[in-house]
Amino acid sequence: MIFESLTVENWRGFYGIETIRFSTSKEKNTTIVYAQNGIGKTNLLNAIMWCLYEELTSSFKKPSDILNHEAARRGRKSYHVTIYLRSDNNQLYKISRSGGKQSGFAIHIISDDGNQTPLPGSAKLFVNSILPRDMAGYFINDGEGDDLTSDENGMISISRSIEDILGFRMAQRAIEDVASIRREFYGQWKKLNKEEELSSDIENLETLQEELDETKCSLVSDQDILSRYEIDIGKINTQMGNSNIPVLKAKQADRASTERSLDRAKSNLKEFRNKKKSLIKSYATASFSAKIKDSDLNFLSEENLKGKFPGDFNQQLVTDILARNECLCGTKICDGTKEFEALMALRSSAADSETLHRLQNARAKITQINTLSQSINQSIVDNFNNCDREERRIDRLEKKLEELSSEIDSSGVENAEKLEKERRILKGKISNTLQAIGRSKERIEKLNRDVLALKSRIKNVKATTPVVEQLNRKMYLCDEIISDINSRLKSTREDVLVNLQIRIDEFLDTYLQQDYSVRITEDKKIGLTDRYGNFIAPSEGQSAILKFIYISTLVSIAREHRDVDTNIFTAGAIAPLLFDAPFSKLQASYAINVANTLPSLVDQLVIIMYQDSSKPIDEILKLNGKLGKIYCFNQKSQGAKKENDITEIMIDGVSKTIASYDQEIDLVKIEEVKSYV
Amino acid sequence: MDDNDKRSVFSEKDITHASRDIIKIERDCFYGEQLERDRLGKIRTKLDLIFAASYSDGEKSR
Repeated sequence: MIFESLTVENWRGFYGIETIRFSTSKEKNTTIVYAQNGIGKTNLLNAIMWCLYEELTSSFKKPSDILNHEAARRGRKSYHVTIYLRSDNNQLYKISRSGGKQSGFAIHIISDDGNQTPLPGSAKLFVNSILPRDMAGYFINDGEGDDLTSDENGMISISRSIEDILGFRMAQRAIEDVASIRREFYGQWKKLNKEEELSSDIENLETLQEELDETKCSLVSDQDILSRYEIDIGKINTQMGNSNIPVLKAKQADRASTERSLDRAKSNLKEFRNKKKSLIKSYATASFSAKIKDSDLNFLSEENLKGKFPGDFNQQLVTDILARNECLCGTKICDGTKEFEALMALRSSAADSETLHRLQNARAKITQINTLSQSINQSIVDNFNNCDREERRIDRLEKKLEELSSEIDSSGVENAEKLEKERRILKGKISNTLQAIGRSKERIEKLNRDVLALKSRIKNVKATTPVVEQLNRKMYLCDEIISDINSRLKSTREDVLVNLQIRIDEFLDTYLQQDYSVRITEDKKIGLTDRYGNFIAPSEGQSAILKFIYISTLVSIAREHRDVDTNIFTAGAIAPLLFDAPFSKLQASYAINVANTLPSLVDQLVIIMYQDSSKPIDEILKLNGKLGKIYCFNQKSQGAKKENDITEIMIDGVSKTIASYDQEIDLVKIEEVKSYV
Repeated sequence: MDDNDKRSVFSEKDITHASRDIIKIERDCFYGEQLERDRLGKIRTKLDLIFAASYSDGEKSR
């Protein structure tokens, strides 16, 4: 970005309109503005700061007193500053700010044919985008509050300026933001990524399947064994039934019948118990509600509802009677009478029909629960009775069976004893096998349920796999970007520090009388060292030189980065350098050397200075082809000339009036002395 | 997915462009005419675009 012109109107010492058109030549890029001390050099830099940011430098005295006094005396109430600047992409902008009564701020885009279009969007943000406020101090320097701080040993902290101007701060923020987005991706990934869970589920499923298969085999085997036992016991029964002893034969028949009854009773009991579970599961709420039904129904008794909640109609009727002051029966109803008070009380106790309806609904629901709970209660009571009955029957049959077996066993028949013993053993085995079959069936049922649930979960987890893969890749992209920026930051920072040191050393070697070098410390401070490498405390002038050369070298590195395609860092700002009295603290020879060097390091340089014959800056710049334009302030004063006042100076062979006295008004004119472009 | 698989999708050029564009977003949102609070959204969109383009290129080249 370069400045094309600056126009001030009624701004401090400038009465009316004054304009500087800066040199915009790439080669002859320097504009010198000569001004005597005490007539407002600083006003010029402050006009730029004010126009861009509505701020003034700390050295600007009386910041509330901006309107030119002569203009104020003549009734003017506003002051204005306008800057024309050209952006890096060669677009011309006009930035204007007004203060006083008519304050305002506007930016216009100027087309090639001079047409002005208001800038869309925020003017303030636009200014910040071309020269951020917090970087302006590096470029617009009034010699007092520059943004380069030095410690008591004259060491200058350079970390912040490097980060700002070269755009590293933005790169650092980019790393932080990409890392934050990566964390978001990771959060999503963690929620969706069930790889471990999936492999564990698959493993579990395989185990369950194996167990299921084994249990099924075991069931088949048990059923096979059971059928063999049943055949065996059938044979024994037949043998015993064929016995010649009639009593034994009868007992055997009785026992077989008792066993069948016992099996039926056990089966019935099992069925009733299953039903009991299902009854409790389905009607638990209704059963428990039965406990509170009576009190609720009493509370919402039909009788009470009828008596205590007159409907809308009743309320309206009473209201109408009160309005007419006459009852249906013809009785007069007047305010204050007993009848009036009775009707008022009746109306106040009326409730709306909606409330009544809701209460009736509540009552109906509770009544429904009551009915339901009564019927369920009956079913549950029946079920309990059935269970009790079957349990008693089983006890009785088991007892009878035991007795019959004992009688058959003690019948004294040798063969019968043997058969009975075998039979008892077989019965025990059958019972055990039946239990094992029951357990296997239950286990198979449970395993089937678990397998189904696992299969469904695995299916869901597998559905998220593509999303997880995408998140993996996105996280990888973030990692790559962070790593790329980090490695470039690291190498560029190192390069910049080396470059700075080399370039500043070259300047010092060429121009400084002493054998000094610069060194950059690990905590990013730059200082002068003597020939033995020891840091020295620089003089005021040396410190100023170091600052000028450092900042302009940094800007020149930023310019080089801007012009390199492979550079990914967007420079924080590359603006013209505007220096107010930069050479005042420097010895003549140093001033000349600095002036010789600065223009080649930046795009545009504006120097506002007091003309000092020992520091022929314009001549030096002219000689090295960098001088574009010279302006000077011409002060007109109502006061009388004093003995030492200078009224004219010589600039490149031209005599120029810089002060005149006994004038009608006080003002400062900005006049072009010479243009070399 | 191993690292080689992932790497085949994003070229060095993709990453360089992504880094540069994201830094530019940061600058526009910090110093420029964009709102700072929008920067994460803009970066996410940029990442999505880069990802979509690189991913489809990567898939095609396989």
